[in-house]
Amino acid sequence: MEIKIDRSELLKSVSRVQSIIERKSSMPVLSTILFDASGSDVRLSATDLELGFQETISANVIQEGSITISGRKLFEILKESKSETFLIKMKENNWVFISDEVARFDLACIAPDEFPAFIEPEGVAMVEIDADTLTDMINKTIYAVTLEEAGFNLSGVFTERVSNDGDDFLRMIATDGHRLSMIDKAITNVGLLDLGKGVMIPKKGMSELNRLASEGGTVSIGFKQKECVAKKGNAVLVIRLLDAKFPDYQAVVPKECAFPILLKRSLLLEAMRKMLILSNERYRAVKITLEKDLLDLISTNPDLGEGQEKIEIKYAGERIEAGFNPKYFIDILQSMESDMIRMEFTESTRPCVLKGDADKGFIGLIMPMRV
Amino acid sequence: MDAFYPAVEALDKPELRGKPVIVGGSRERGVVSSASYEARRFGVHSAQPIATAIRLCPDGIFMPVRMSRYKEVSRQIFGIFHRFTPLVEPLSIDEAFLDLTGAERLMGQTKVIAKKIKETVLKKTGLTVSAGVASSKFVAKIASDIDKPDGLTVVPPDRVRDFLDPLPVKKMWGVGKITQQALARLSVKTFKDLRQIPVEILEKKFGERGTAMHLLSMGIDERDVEPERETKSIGHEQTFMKDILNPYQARKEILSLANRVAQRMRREKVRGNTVSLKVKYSDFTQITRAATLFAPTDDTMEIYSISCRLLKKTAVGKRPVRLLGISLSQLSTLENEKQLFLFAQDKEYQKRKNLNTALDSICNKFGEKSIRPATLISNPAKPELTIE
Repeated sequence: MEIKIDRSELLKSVSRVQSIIERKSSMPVLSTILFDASGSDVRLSATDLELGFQETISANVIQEGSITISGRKLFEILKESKSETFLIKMKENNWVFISDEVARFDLACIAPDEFPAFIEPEGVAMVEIDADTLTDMINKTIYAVTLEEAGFNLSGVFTERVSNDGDDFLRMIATDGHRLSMIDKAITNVGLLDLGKGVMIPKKGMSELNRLASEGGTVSIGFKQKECVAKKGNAVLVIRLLDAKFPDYQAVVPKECAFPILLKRSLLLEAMRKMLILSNERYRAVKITLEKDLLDLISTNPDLGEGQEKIEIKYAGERIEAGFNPKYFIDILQSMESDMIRMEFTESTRPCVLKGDADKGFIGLIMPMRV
Repeated sequence: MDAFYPAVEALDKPELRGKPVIVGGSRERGVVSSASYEARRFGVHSAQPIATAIRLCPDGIFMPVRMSRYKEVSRQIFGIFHRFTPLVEPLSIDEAFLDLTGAERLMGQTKVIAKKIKETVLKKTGLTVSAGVASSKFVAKIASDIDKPDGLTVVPPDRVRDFLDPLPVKKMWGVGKITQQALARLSVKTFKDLRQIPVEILEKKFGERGTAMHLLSMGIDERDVEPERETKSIGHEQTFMKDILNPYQARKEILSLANRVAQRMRREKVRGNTVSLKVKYSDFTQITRAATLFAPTDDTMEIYSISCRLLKKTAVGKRPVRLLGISLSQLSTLENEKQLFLFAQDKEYQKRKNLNTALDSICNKFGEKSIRPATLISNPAKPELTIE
């Protein structure tokens, strides 16, 4: 393989896949990018076995063929160079020659046939989604996914199709067992998606999907058996879906409550941020007291002291007292856009619900703590 | 305590006294847990493969580890410590910090008290202790190591610097080979060198640890003696007689470890939120893989299934494995779990909880091996079972 390629074009693609390639892996080939040159294009592939990304960019292909190059090293080389074009050439025994006419690198690479093929499934029904809508859905749910490896059946965003009054919606839900965020968006032709009874998209896949959508425009998305396929321009992302059961979330969403509280989102967000100051691993609860026209927040930490803030509200319900992890409020409130939010809270052992008019189709649930 | 395990063995079998006694695992695969001073003269030391110890000290008397007996003696010794002060911080089975602040008025100088403790332990158990007396935990610990066995080193507050200065830096906690090498490049070999190097240089090179090392080099250690040290993690590990290559065999061992860890957690009434799997390959390289759960657990099957998932992130089944270990950390006691769950713990969970309670009570009554997963019952006549 031998190609001449525009540096900035290549750098864009190579930096795009840095989050996918594995830094330390038992399979060194996963830290590489596969180059396939043919015709007047070169296709870059990266995978971590859970997801695969491919992008085709145009290049001056002098000789067709395939190579792998360390994704990290290529990124650094491209970043340090000021030249406009790069020459990449396959030499004997999997050595790759890279030159920008100023510096030259000879890199020992891995044979391209060792690269695990991540094949795009065929015959997938694709639906176009506005990229901003997709980003909005992801940003409003992804934070609630359990951290790291956590709770295997919760380590992704559950995605399904729901119908309401004859309209079809795409629904995304995420939870870590303590809080839950759910959003519905009306999407044209969403009925064409083969979502079955819902699928679990892993967290890493979700953030890659978000990255794909972050440049605006539209993203086509489709599902087939165990995979989710997303396309934008010349880029294809294939995500392996999680084989996990999502809990029965319908049962935990409370019915409308009699005394909802309306308050300014920024006010509650700022108050919760202040309450977080005194919380730590051992003492993380903020105690919320709802009484007539008053929302009282107190955070007590025996090691440090106490903080309090009172917010005037309109409230005519019963006095309720409950503890909450302020971090969960901050996560949800930060992801919302509404100026005024609606807080529904009825019992110290039932979840508190957050909604907002400008966050149509969104609902956030937070389970209390015992105080 | 001085060479604690061999000392207990010699206590129970007087004919072992003065002999090179080596307590440890099996001849083929085990490591030395502890060696008597006579054995140490041959170059035998703890954590050394038994095979090496045999080579160094062919006439050594090799004994298996009798942990329950050592624990028994340890309890006796800690009981003696508690007669002198309530502030006893156990560091291991045979080491402790004692805060004697205030005891001087009742019992005389700390040196006198330390002597008395040593005498009492010797009289009651027949074992010798080495003690270090100083105004901080750090200096006391170093002092106790200076004059082993049966030593007593007192470092008065105004002599701390003179005492520390000539010591090599490797005596400092957390200064291993790598740090030692890094310090040597800065021409730092002794505590004095370390004390005299500008703290900024240490901070630049070692970050927060640099600051800590600087303070320790001057003998500044403000940590209190903490009587009840919280358990940070609960775990078990197993070195195998033969390296394991078969993934089914590995999972079987994982099940056995998970069972032991879970039983211990239930006995101590704690649950863990993070499961760590430790794998040591035959070439002694070691990796750990961890997963955090969404709710803490003490259930054998849950710990087992998570460990099996973690197993997939290792080269187990591809590379020979000499040791496997499971530990749970981020422990919480049942009382302090305050965060409520959105989803009611499912029926399955309650069932398993009841099952565990039943299993535990059978084990308590009839012994640990009376009931266990069928997979763990060895039956060489039958082919290996496949467990998923």
